[in-house]
Order: sequence, then C-alpha cells, then structure tokens
Amino acid sequence: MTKPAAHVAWLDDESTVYLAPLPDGPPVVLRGPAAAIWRAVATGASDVAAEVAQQHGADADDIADDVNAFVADLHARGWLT
Amino acid sequence: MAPDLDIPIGVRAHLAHAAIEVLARSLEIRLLHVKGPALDPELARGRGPSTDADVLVEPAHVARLRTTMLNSGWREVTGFTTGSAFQHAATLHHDHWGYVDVHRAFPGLAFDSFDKLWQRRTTVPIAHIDCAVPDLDSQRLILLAHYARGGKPADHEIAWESASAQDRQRVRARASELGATVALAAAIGELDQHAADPASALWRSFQPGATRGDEWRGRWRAATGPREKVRVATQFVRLNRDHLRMELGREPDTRDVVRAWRRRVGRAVGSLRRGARRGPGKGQHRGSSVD
Repeated sequence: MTKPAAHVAWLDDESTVYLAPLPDGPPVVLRGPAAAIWRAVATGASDVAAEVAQQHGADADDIADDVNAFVADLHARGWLT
Repeated sequence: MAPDLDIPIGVRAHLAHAAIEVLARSLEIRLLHVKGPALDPELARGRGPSTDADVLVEPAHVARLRTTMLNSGWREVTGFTTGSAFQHAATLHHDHWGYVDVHRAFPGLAFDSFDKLWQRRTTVPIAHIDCAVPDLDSQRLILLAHYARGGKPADHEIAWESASAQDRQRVRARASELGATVALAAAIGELDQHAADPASALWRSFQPGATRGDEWRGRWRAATGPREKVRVATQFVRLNRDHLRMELGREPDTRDVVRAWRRRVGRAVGSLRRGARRGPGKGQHRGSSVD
C-alpha cells in the first residue's frame, strides 16, 4: 500500500498540507487538489482518485489521470513508498 | 506545490522538531523534545502556536550535534555562553526550519538530569515523526521551572494551579529526583522554605521586584567553587556580542563594542548601587538573559 515515506514529516491543517523531506528539506506546501491527494494516500485510500472525487464532488474518471500522475510524481521524489 | 515561504511559524516549529529528530537519529544522539508541540495535550490546551522548537540533548553529545547542525545549513544566533545566565542553551536558525533552542541542561533541574528524564520518556509523533518527550510529571516540572524564571502565568496555572493533589505530589517527588526542589519552590511560592540553599537567592532574583544586581548577587551566591565564582564575576561586565549583533542587525565594529561595553558597565554599577541601597523588592520584573 502506498503511504508517506518514513523520512517525510508532514502536517495537515485541514486546508493545507505542509510536508518536509528530511533531513534536508525544503518544506513544501500542498493546497487544494494536491493536499486532497496527499490526504487520501496518507489515510490509506485504496482508490485515491475515487476518494478525492468523492470528497470534492467530482467524477473519478475525469480526474483519475491527473491524480495518478501526481501520485507518480510524489513517488519519483521519494516522498511516498 | 508552493515554496516554503507560505509556512506559518507554528507549522515551521513542528517541522523543526521533526528535522532535529531525524538529524539526531542519524548521529545516534539521544534528545528529548520539550515544550510547544511536544507538550502533553493536558498541558497544551489553550496555547497558541510555538515560534520555535526546544530540545534537550544528552550533554555528552551536544557539541557533536551542534557541529553537525552548523555543517547542515544551521546558523548559530546565540551560543551557550551568551544565550542566558545559566548558559544552558544555544539558539540556531535554519532557513527551512526556523529556530531551535538546543538545551544541554534545563535551568532549575540538576545538570545530570538527562538520563533520569530519558528513563521515563514517552514517544509522540510530531509532524508524523516519532519524537521522545519527558513524562507528564517532568513536563509539568519543566513548565514550572521556566515559569519561575519569568515565564507565562498560564504555565503556572496549567502545570500547578489546575493540577490535582496527586499530580502535585508527583511533581514534588519528581523535583526531588531531578534536583529541582528550589526551582519548584520558586514557582509555587515556597522559596522562603529554602532560604538556606545557596540557589535560593538566584531564583529569588527572577521574581517581580528584583533587579539585575539581585540576579548577579544570586548567581554569585549560587556559584560553587572559585572557578565558578570567577566565571560569574567575568560575565557581570562581559559584552554579549550575539545580542549586540541582533540589536544592530549587523556585525558590530570596534566602536559599537566600546559604546556597548561602556553602557553595560554603567548599568552594572548603577544596578549594584541601587540594589545595595534598596534591597530586594523594587525594580522591574525581568528574565534571566545576560545582555
């Protein structure tokens, strides 16, 4: 199951996710859809696109490609395992 | 994703705790996270966001941690000898993580308290990174010791006034274990019961009405041995270049240093004279920093 990497610190203040790859950073700010995707991954959603779509009143098929691309990007940065 | 310029200071304090924890782990250095985001929820209620992170480092490895931090993008703002009268902490800043106070001791607790605090530690996640923190009784005691040095009345209220009789008894016992009996007494209005203790004059100097001269007299009385006495006497007029740098916003030159030293000597002499004439009980409430 995909989840945040052990070396990534992160906080969720409901509207924004702040995350920091450690030890060197830099910290980054995720807002809107990016924050929603991170939350869905962090809470263990089996279908991230469906989870994000449900929370935002969107069609999962419409956003799946973008969601998956973002998750792949987070993986490539080493922020997800 | 946005750059880190948009990170609120309270959030940055959480990330600072996490960053220091990961760094310390890589060096196999034990440290305890204290205050702010590390507080037990029972003690944290009603608090606003923290502006920095505080960590207490096992004393034998403080220098190694500090060196690694300086080599990892951290900049020292105040050093151990210039940060406070107790020389207990250094403040470092990182462009990503903000401010961290690295403690090698905690004023009011015996210098060798770290191992006893470590033995009763618990673990809490800060920014989803597991961090070691003192047990609840020790956290109460740390807040009270900080309050006794001019800390927030809210710390006294939450750590003592609203504590149960059982909580207070455990804090008293913990203070005894950690050599913090006088500091606790100062926080809870029982300092008169420790008048014979050499440290009581120092803790009395942090209370409302005490002067800077009272602080120095208290430090003198609390100092044990000739070497410690000489250190206190030297610091009485030593200029704190870190603080001068912060005041000026630039590196002080020779003229700055001379002017500041003259002001400092003048204030020191004046304070001693006023203290000798009036005795304790008059003057401004002040903290423990040396300027």
